[in-house]
Amino acid sequence: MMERRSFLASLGRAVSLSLVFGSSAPQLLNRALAQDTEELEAFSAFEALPLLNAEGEVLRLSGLEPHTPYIFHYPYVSTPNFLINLDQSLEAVEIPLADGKSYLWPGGIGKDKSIVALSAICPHAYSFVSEKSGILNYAAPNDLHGPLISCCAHVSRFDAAQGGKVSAGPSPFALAAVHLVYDEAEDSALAVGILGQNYLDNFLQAQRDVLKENFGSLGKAKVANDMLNVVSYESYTALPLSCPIS
Amino acid sequence: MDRRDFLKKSAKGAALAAASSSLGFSFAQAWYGKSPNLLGEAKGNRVVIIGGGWGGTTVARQLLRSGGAEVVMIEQNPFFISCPMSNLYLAGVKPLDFITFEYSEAISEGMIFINERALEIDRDSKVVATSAGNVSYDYLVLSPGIDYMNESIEGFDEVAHLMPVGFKPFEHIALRRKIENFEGGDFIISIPKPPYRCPPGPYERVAMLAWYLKENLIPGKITVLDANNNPLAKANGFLAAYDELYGDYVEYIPNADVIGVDYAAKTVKTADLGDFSFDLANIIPQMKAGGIVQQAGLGERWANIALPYFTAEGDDSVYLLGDIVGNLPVPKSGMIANSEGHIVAKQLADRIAGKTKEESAIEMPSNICYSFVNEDEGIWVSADYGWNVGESKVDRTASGLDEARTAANGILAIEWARGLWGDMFGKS
Repeated sequence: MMERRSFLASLGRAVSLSLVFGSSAPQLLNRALAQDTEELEAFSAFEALPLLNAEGEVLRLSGLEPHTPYIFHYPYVSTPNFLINLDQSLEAVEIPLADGKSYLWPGGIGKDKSIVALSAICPHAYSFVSEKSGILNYAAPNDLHGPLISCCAHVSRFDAAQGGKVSAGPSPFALAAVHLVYDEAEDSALAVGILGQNYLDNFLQAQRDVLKENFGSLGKAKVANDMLNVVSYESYTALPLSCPIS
Repeated sequence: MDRRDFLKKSAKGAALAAASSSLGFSFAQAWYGKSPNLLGEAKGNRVVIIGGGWGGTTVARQLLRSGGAEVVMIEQNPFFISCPMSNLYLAGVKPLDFITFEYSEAISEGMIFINERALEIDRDSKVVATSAGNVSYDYLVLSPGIDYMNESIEGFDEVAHLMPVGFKPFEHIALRRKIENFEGGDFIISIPKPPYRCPPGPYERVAMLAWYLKENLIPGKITVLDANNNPLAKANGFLAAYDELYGDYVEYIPNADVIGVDYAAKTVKTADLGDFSFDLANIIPQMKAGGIVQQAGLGERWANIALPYFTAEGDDSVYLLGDIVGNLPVPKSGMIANSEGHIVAKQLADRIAGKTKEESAIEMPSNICYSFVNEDEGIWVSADYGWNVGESKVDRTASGLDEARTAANGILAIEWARGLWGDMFGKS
């Protein structure tokens, strides 16, 4: 495993570059990332892109309301992710993969290390958050449980504070994470790839009927998203859901 | 006993035994057109699955995905009809093809599909006799589902073919035809004492058929004769739906244990509440494990597993799952069988890879059960289960309940089905 500090430091420089120099810098950045991330366990690199707000400006992470779920799509236009400020400093966690190996989820990012980006597609049977229905949802911690992402289709639950690790229910493994790199000076973040079990192709296959309806074809659903607009879950989905379990 | 003895004792055995003697060989070959030993000897990794339902199909798909096993399924039906969501079909909300699936994905991944009835299991010789010949196994997965205890209702067995129950595949088609032909009058639905397949299923059926009558202005009334003193699951949600949505279309009568039926007189007899006449009746009798469980000597009404694993008590080469299991405190549901299928497949993959049974992780199933109460609104109940090491028993570790009918729950119910059907029948 590579030195995380040097990896993040190099990314930090690159992020600033990309934000300053626009379109040419991401290619340099991607080359740097390819070298830096090749030793990461369970990392799938995709184009490095900054998180934006709903208006298309660079998102300032300090503006994320605590315990309020946000949605952005990455790496494809059809693959949603949660972005959540958990209001607590989150350390790195070792997370098991389906084959018995594991990977290191690097913890929260942002000035308080409290922000996480986890897939809004359930790895159990590939239910997902869509504009029509928020089948997965976020529940803030209470007396009974910590911060949880739940999938109401079959009530798989995932620990949002531990990189999406399975907490209960039928899911065989954790939610994938979006690997975010924090730019402290800008208080912004760059998505660089998917960390964990990459089940995006399984998702596309399992949900192809719905995706064809929404996007026209599977090919169109698999187009890379180049504008990572972050919008609130409440405003994104017409049907926010919850499925409380105790 | 050895294989030859077993063959001699089985019903088909006389002819099959002749096949293995030099004199009768060619005659029997011509007679059956197939080898008596369908797949040759098992080579250590053969998993024979009896039953292509929620449990068996899940085991097959998961083993095919993990690799290493020779996967054989013995299933008497050519394709699968889902019991979950079948009440939508009975009420005319969804077509038959919505709940119908083929085994083609599993077959394309290498599963050997024997579309025959499993007749007998010889656990000493590790051989299953089917209506087409014998199959030897290294591991047997038994997931045949339920049979009806027709004998629990006097006069029912003789007319069972006229009164489809609709809790096993294909019966739904006959029951739907009867419902379509019902132009009004008294419609009785009887509900047995547990354990039976899908505890909320009959209550959902009552709601959906009441919706069907009301929607289509059919002047009928559903009388629910429930052997129990209250609905067994989501009671408040169901009773509220009967009362608030369907009024005079439904009369719910608790503690009405149906003990007899007179089909000619069109009456059913209850233990304590007298007789009820009907124009159409859907009698749901008590249930037991599929007959092959008893034949194999694995239990009388239900079969027990050697907790916390899913092997049969006293036989580590046989795995039991789904509705036939008697000693797990879980409902008999499709999702439980699917969830157990994932667990059994992992444990089998470990065994085939050379681990002992005890080296596998101990896991227990989880369940969520959605029920519709009209064409688009649902209610649900859920539970997780876990193995209590200290007390050596299965605990319910978490649960949820939503008895307020909503369209959101209806959307989730459909997504529930899509997800699990996809797991069993979709492309990998």
